[in-house]
Amino acid sequence: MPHKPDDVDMIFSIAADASMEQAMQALNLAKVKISRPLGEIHMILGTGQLSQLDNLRKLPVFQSVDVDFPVQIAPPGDPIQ
Amino acid sequence: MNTLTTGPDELFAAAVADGQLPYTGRQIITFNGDAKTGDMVAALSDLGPMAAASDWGGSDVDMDQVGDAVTLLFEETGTAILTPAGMPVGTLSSDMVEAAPAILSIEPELFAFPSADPVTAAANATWGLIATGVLNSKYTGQGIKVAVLDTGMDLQHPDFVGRLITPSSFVPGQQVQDLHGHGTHCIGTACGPRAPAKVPRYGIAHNAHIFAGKVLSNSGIGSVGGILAGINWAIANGCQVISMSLGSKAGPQVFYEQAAQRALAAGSLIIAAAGNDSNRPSYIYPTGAPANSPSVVAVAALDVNHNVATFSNGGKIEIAGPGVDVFSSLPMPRQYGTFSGTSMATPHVAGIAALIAESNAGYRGAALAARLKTLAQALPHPVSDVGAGLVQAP
Repeated sequence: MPHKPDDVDMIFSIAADASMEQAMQALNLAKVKISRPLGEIHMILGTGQLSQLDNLRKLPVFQSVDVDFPVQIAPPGDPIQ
Repeated sequence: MNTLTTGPDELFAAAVADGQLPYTGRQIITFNGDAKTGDMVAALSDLGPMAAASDWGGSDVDMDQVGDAVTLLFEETGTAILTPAGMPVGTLSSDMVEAAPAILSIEPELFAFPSADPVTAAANATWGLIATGVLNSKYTGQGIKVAVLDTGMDLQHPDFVGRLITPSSFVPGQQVQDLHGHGTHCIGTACGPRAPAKVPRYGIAHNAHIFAGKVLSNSGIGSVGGILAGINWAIANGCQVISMSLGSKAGPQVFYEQAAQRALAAGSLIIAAAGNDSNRPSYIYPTGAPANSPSVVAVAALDVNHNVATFSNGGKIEIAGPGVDVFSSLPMPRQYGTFSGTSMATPHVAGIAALIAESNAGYRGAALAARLKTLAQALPHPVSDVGAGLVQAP
């Protein structure tokens, strides 16, 4: 979970030709806090500063870097997604 | 109107509409064994107009002749039916028992269903299971792992006693126990029991190993990160089917597609709800994420007449399932209820996918998706609305 005002939860999709270890090393260097490596789907969840986003997206070990966003369902009784 | 003259079909339809199954809305009063007829009459007379079986002498009670009675006494068995109109406003059953010494108990009346012989079994199930041919399938989901990523599950639900369930929560600070209801309802459709005690059959893969992943909070809110963690968990545990009745109004996302491709490579198929943002026929909203990812099976919702549900999103759709007035399990004490949505269509497809996966070990990942579409019943609607058609059991 974010701790500083600028912190956001991020989703790191690792490039196909990069390893989990390489991706974690890159995040450590960028001082991104790793919250959960997802080895089966080749991704990492972490927390970093929003101002870092563009620079993180330029790292070749990542296919994509996205800010996490909420998913919500409607209450029972209404059509539910 | 729930009166003594209301027929059982009307009562059942009303109970389905109100989500109150298996209860009729009436109460059954049981009198103490030593209660005299006079005691019973005295206890009931305060509640309003009363009829008694003895009014018909030795003949059967003619319900068309009970008039405006709100209670019907059966003296021989020491019981009575109490309609809602006879229940004092704001009074609890326990209060009535305490006030009338002749009364032993007051309990909600349950619907009675025929035993499941070959003739009546077809009618003793939800419309969705009948429409998808589940009752005719010899498969049960045995040996198949089905992950339902949702609001969790009522792990104490009586219909799931003895079932193989692996729970895990990806919502910080919350246990898997479902305090919302959505997850328990979806799991009920995909993996509910073959012969629940009090209600029609509503579950499909009744022998499948259930993986109840809580990725949405008890308020029905989650994050993409939690959903991805749930997918990762399901794949790591070898789930052949991953059902996700969730989504958001977003275009295709790289991370969802990457996760879905990894799942397929591992022999797991992700099945997701298309979303409920349409208002047909005037407005059709595009399929949401993650269902709009190419490697995810997107599910649309149909009504009992096999028409597209007014709320069902369209565009990228692979298949359709029953999604209007779907009866299934809910956390206790509600126990059962009826919901509508592509959320309800999705576990129909997931449960049937488990049956197909059981039928042939070759049906995994993309091959399972292809088999789902091959078996589907074609419908006279655009592919962008229903895909290959109505999902069908093997």
